[in-house]
Amino acid sequence: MSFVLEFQNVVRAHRENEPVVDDVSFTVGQGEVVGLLGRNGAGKTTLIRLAIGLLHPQGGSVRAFGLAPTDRPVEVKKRIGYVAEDQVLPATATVKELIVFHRFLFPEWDMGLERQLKDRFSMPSQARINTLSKGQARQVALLCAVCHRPELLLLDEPAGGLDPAARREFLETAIQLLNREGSAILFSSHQMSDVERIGARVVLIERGKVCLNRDLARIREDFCVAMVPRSALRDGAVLERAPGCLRVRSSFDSWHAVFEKPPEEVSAELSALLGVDGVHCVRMPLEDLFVEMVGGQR
Amino acid sequence: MLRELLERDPAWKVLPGMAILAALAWPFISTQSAANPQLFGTLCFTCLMVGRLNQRATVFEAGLPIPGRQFVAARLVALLAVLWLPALLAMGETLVLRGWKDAIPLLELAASSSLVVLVTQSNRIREADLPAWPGYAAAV
Repeated sequence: MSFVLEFQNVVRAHRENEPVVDDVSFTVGQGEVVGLLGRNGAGKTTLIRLAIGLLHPQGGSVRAFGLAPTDRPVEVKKRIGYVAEDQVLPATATVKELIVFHRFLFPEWDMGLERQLKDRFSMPSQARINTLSKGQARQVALLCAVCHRPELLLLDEPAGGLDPAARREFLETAIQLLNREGSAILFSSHQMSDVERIGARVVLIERGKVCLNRDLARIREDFCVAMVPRSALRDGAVLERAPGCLRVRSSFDSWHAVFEKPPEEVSAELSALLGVDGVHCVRMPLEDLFVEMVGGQR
Repeated sequence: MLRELLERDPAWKVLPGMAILAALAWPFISTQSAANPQLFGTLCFTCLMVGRLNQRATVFEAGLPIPGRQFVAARLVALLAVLWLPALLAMGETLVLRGWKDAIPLLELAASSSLVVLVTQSNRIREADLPAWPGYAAAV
């Protein structure tokens, strides 16, 4: 598979000795949909800004279509669509003016797709951006980001702040439109439901590091959480030393340990290791697994 | 490209309004007060704040395939225009009404304000989408 985006040992700090992104490596293949998950401040936005060349990496390398986005920004940005939650569209411009400007910037602008999206969103062409609702403004941003048929679409919390219906419509439109054309999509979110709906590969970021990089279907199969009562085990470090254990978290009256193994196997192993019966091991939905992996660390 | 960016620049958009305002208001203000340079400084500050001196490029603009130097050039041209056009009109009126001795300090103030524009735009300041009200408040 050829990669449209590659992060190799990328490091980026906004303050000295406090890396926001620390030795991150992963790739996005052609036509692939990758969900970048993580808590607030985990480094998702920084990674996306590195991908589009808004930030320089301080270590490692970022390559989009084999090019460094900071060295060849115009070439790279012509092939990328970008929508971010904190984007401020020109407030006094009308929707029409904004679209005309994008047509000027992207010679390969698809007028058919533009019409299709305008109809779908019932977009008021003459309305000024500052008179639109948050959801409508985001739809305008999406239209501007996809009508040049980008090879890579970067969505940074694109549906943040939208109501569930608008959120679903936004994501479905973006994914359906571009993924059926073979475009790759990297989107960041802390909404597990977004990722589960889209069925993407998941890259989980915590404190600037990749702590999981796997297909969603495999995550459901490969991981389980063991819940051991505190009455049966005083020290959680015992669980950390167990083979296949990724993380142990202290809950109210039990230890929660994430294992990269089937639950039956973990249950049998822990029963033998701890000498207790009834260690409860379950496969978990993505949201619960996310909480187990990154929860309780701050 | 520069023309396209200028047409969308917040400073360029308010340029005609600020020029008309300065041309109409300055003769009245300057004849009623002896503190011409201070008032003129306020005029310069108002023009620059209304033109969003603090803003370089928004995240939205930075994501577009436009070379960075064109953004900087467009911002500089628009901000210097929104500073100098009203300033020149006010200076011209002062020259006619009060003589060149009163006009020279205004020229010096406008030149100093240009320096402020160059410094703020050449520094990588943090993007801030501040409202225009500080400018209007200064004017009041």
